[in-house]
Amino acid sequence: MRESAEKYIRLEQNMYSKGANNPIFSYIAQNLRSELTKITSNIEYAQLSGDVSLLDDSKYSSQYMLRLIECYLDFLDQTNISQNVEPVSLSALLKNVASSMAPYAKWQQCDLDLNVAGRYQPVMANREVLNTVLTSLSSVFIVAQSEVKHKARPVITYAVTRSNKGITAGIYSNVEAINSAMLKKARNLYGKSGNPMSASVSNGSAGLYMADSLLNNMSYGLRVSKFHKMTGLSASFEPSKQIALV
Amino acid sequence: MIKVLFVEPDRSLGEIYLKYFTKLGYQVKWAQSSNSALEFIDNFNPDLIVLELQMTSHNGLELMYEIRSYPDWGNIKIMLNTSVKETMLKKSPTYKQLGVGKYTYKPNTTLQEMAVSIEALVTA
Repeated sequence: MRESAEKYIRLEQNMYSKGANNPIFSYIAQNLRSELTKITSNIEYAQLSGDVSLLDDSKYSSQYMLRLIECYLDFLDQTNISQNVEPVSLSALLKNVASSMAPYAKWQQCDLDLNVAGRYQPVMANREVLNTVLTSLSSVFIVAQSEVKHKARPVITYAVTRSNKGITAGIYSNVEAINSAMLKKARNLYGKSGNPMSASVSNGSAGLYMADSLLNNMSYGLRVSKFHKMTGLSASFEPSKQIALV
Repeated sequence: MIKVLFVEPDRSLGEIYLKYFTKLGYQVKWAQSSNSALEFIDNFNPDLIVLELQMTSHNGLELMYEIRSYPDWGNIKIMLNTSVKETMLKKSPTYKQLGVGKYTYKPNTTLQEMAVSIEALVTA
């Protein structure tokens, strides 16, 4: 696995040095490089010391990379999005996402909370892509808070609320790790030339950009918002007019 | 005993560096951000700082500027272990003035190679 990890890192370096012009691909590659570097160091440490206690980190790094790649594949396949819409329960979707992210969050030493109680009409959306968006945003939040020093135990909350814009699904944190500046940076990603320190912000930019872009393709938009004194990101969806939960 | 401060925002890598270099016989501390690095430098007084440049709030370059602005920290050796390529850093006109003792490119550098670089820098 170490050999393939090293081979992948060198492949990415070659592509980068040959001037791959797609900024989003560059950011994805940097994210993957970062995770593969961790895996390589992890394996080397285990081999040198015999201490395998940190090997779980490699599993989570791999899962993070797979999520990122899935998100990117959905991002590339955007023509399919509008053709496969169906009524989606945001509460149920957020519960599934929280459940799938729970082990990763626990490893990154943060708690997940759900605030999805209540009757909400389903919304018309591409279920698979929305799942990808929420999973990608969750990863971004979890990684972002892990890079910020804070006194309180970080809690990431998944919430559904009703607003004048429709049904709003959001992910929020009690630690300010995601803010307007980061969302602006993610949106400016495409077409902006890289500078040496552009990646000095957390690795979340690529995931944020793709999530935002996927939502835009469904005619929805991501925005910074507040929920119960927490800041986070949310998107509002129009409830399905054909079907309502009884 | 040589004191080394690792400034590394990533938790996985920070833990690896802490454990591995402690086993090698160094006195090691690990800071996850520039702010906590400054606290460690004050209290721990390291001989060497191994620094990643890409950090969420103040990045490593800003931290280096700050360290070099204090005369009593002028002798602390700094080694960069970063994913930012050196060709990019050399575009900065003030990079050379920051007194970086050694640069290693993180994705291509093994733990053993880091250890060799650290040993060379602290004994120089």
